[in-house]
Amino acid sequence: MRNLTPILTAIAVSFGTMTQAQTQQTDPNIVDQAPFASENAIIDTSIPFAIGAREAQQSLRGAFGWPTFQEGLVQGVYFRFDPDGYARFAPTPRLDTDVFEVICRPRTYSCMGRKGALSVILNSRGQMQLKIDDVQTGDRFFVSEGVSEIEVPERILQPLETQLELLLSSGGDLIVRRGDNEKDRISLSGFLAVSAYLRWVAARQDYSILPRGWPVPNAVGSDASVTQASTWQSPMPQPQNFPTGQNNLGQTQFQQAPQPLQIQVQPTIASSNQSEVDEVKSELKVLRELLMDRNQTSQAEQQNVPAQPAQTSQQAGMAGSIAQLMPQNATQQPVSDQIAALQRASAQIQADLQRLSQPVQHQTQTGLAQTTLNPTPQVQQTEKVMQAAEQSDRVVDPAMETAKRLQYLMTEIGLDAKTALMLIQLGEGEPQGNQAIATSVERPQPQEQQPVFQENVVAEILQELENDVLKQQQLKTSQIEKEIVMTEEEFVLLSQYFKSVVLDR
Amino acid sequence: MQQNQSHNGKSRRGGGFGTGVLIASIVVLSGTIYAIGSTAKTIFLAQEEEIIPIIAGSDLDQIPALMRGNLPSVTTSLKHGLPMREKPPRMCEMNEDYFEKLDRGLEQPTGYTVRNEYVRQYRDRRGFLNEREMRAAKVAWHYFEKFTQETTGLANSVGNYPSTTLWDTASYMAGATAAYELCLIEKPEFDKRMTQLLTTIKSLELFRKEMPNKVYHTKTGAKVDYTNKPGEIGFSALDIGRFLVWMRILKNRYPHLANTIDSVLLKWDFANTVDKEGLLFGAYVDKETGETVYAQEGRLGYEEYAAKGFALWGFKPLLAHRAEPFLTASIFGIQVPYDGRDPRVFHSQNYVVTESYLQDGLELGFDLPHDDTSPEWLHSDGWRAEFADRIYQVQENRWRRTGFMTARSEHNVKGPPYFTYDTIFSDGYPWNTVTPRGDYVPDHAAVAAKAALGLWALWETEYTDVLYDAIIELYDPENGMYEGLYERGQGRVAIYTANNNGIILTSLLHKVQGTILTPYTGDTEVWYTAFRDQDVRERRQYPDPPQESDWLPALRHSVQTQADF
Repeated sequence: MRNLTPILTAIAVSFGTMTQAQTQQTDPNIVDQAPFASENAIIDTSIPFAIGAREAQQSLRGAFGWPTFQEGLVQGVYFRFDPDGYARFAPTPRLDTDVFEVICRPRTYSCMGRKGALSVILNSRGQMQLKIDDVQTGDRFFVSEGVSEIEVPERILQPLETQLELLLSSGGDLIVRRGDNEKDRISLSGFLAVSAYLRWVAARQDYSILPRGWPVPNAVGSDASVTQASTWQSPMPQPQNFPTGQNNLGQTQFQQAPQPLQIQVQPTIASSNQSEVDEVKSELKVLRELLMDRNQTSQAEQQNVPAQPAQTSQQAGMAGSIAQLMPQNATQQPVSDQIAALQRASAQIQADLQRLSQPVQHQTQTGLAQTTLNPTPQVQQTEKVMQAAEQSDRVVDPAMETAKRLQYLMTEIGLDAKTALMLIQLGEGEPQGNQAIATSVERPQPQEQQPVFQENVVAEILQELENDVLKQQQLKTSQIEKEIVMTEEEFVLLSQYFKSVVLDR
Repeated sequence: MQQNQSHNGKSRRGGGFGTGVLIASIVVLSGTIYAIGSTAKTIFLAQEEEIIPIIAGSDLDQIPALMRGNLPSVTTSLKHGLPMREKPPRMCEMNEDYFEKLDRGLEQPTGYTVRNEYVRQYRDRRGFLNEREMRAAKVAWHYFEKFTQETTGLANSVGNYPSTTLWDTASYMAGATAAYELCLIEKPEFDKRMTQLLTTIKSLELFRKEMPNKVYHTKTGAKVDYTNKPGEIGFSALDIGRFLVWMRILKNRYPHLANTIDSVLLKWDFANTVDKEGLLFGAYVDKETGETVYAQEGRLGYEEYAAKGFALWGFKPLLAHRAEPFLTASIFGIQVPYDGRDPRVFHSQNYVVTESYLQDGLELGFDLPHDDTSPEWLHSDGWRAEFADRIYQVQENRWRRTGFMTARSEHNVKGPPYFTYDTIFSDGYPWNTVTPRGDYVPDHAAVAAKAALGLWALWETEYTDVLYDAIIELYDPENGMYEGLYERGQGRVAIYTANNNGIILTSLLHKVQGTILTPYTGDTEVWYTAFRDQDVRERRQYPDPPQESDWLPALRHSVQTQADF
């Protein structure tokens, strides 16, 4: 519940923003003042994007505008950007030719780079995604550097692999050919800087997200995290520390938490999915406990309230569930409302789970995965073993579990006893985050099995939850049927009703 | 007996002789002493009788300036005993033959006079407004009718965005003055609007109890930052300078508002605004320390215009009024002057635009602040008029050689970047259109409506007739005049601002009445006499009535005699 709050808040905020934007668009005379609202300032221009960049004052004559901006030179391109994220990158200091322009959606960290027909965005998994206007099936793509050019696969229009991104970042021109005709030629000058900028913005100006070799200033003060190993650039999978609850962006922030440039996509998704499943588990547990508590304390007061059909509540929108899930008035709400809210939350969680499982499926479709998701007989067998192991884990003695982990850390990893014990204690202190890591350390699993395994676990939990809800409903319905006894006087024929209305007039 | 006397051989004189000599000596001595005494008395006592009493304000007055508040400001009319210019009547009160009697100096030779005054090659456009112009004036005034806040009397800078600056408030004052003089509104409404506005301005919370903040919320009158949230930015010397120009115009034209106007300015502290050398200083807040930072403000064009605003109230902005350091860039054969201060050193761009020259010409007649006698065609601030001629000519030349209608100024645009400096020259490039942070955005180049009609009012030429046709019907009757017409064919700049509509109204009023600033006809002013019994005038550096020695100098610069390519 606690973890869902920022997500739901973000949805509410974005909904409100959309409504506001629509209202403004309806009146053509209204001057759009939103661009300079302080809420739109997503970037601190005093934090240099690269060594040598400086914050400067804008020459404002009017009554509004951004007071500052940042300008500098990096990787051969000059740049300027405003607090709202609007940026321009060009090889000339005047920023007048061959300009890569970056525009951010108001009040979000979602930005897009544009140069001519080329658009670049950062997708939810931290990959660059290209879009080229007016491209048709059969068009071919080339990267040209002087007289030499190489053909690049059509996959550049899908989330970019590291190799392709590095190729495009090397400069030159991107050529689109239709048949023998050159349809478009787009300079890639500034592509590297723009992709770094998009990631830097999405990471709240965190230097650790910038590519290897990027000229960043020395870390000072709060940037001490740069020295932590978990934030280093590495081709190896890293535990993902998603910043959550830092601001009012919630869901957007969570989804757009950036990935290091050179990280392999597949393990990243697996580990992030694992941690999210853990979060969902804990939320389900909280929901269940909440329901049981409420039910016990207010059972007597809730008997006269008719239950609502579960089917209707499951179709409620996400925004509705935000208000329903807020705990402050929960004790005063009828139990049916709570059930409805829980059902909606259940539907929401199911949708979230589907969404979480999508990246892997998508990855499979795009050919990024090393193996397919369809379990072979051998994999199915492994899966069963894993399920059995998971079930057996639930009844394992905690002392045995600790001893087992200690032994693993000392023998397999080679840690000394003190360090191993400390790691285990840390793991116990942070059950959501480190438990996932410890589990993965304990039993390294094939990545392709992870989503299936997760789905099974979650489906099991959901089944339990639904059973609880159904029991509550059945109990209540029977009580209500007992309570409500209709007398004959309460029934009025429709014709008599109409007659009475006419006579009253 | 006689022998005996002779026999003795000696003659003895009697005692009476000696007595006589003594008496004579005494008499001579006494006479000498008297003469000397009388002479001395004549010399010394006579000096005492001839002492000339020192009259306050006379040449012998050595008493501190604090006591000189009741001196009149010395202007050319007082100095030379010439008749002042007269305030023209409202358009609806003018005789039909009013313009037939005007002295337009058509036969006068062009160029500098021996006193560094300047006669321009082209004359102002003068006459009654025709139907098209009246319609434009009504629409422009409608902007202020629609976007003035009832609660404060302040007008929005841009459409319905409820914030404003002193620069744009001056534009509102210009609009109201023009509306009254062009008989669009009558005195009750004019007085009501101006009184409410001045009362509000007097009650505005100042930036750190010093000068007005750069931006205020028009609905609440609260000082705000650039996002229109409560806060403070600093103050702008240029904005204040323009505001002072219009406060002086209002005060001179409408003496019944004089006390209110003076009381507004007597709340402000000018101690850090004009330094001893006569440079203008704005202020901003240091981001790190939160302390006030004073920084020189203004570049060639705006700086001199603002300086004259301060000089109209007795300040001595000598350096700010000087063109130096300036350089020229040759564009289409014209040496266009631009500020010579290096942007890399001073971090302030040198934008060459039309607006500041237009405002000087329309409102001040390219005259010096102390000049209240010269005819319309003679500009006592000669080099300003001569530079303005170059600014006009280079734009006409561009039109003739490229076909681009050109009337460049700073202007708002709809959507990002919301504001552009659409310059004749800046950052080393001619016809440079840049954003406030310096991005080159040529797509936002436009014929600015205010610049076009300003040029039309001050230069009666074939080219400005073309500009007039392009702009005079460029309006939305519900909101006011559009900001301009995009140069690259994207249509109108669909945004409405106080500055644009105010300057358009000023241009139309100039056609009817000529120079907007009229002479001050009173004797002394509260502005100069208030707080004489306190040290407030010293602390806030309120000036004394300007004397001849305080006048800004009339200067000239080298004149371009042939095209420079």
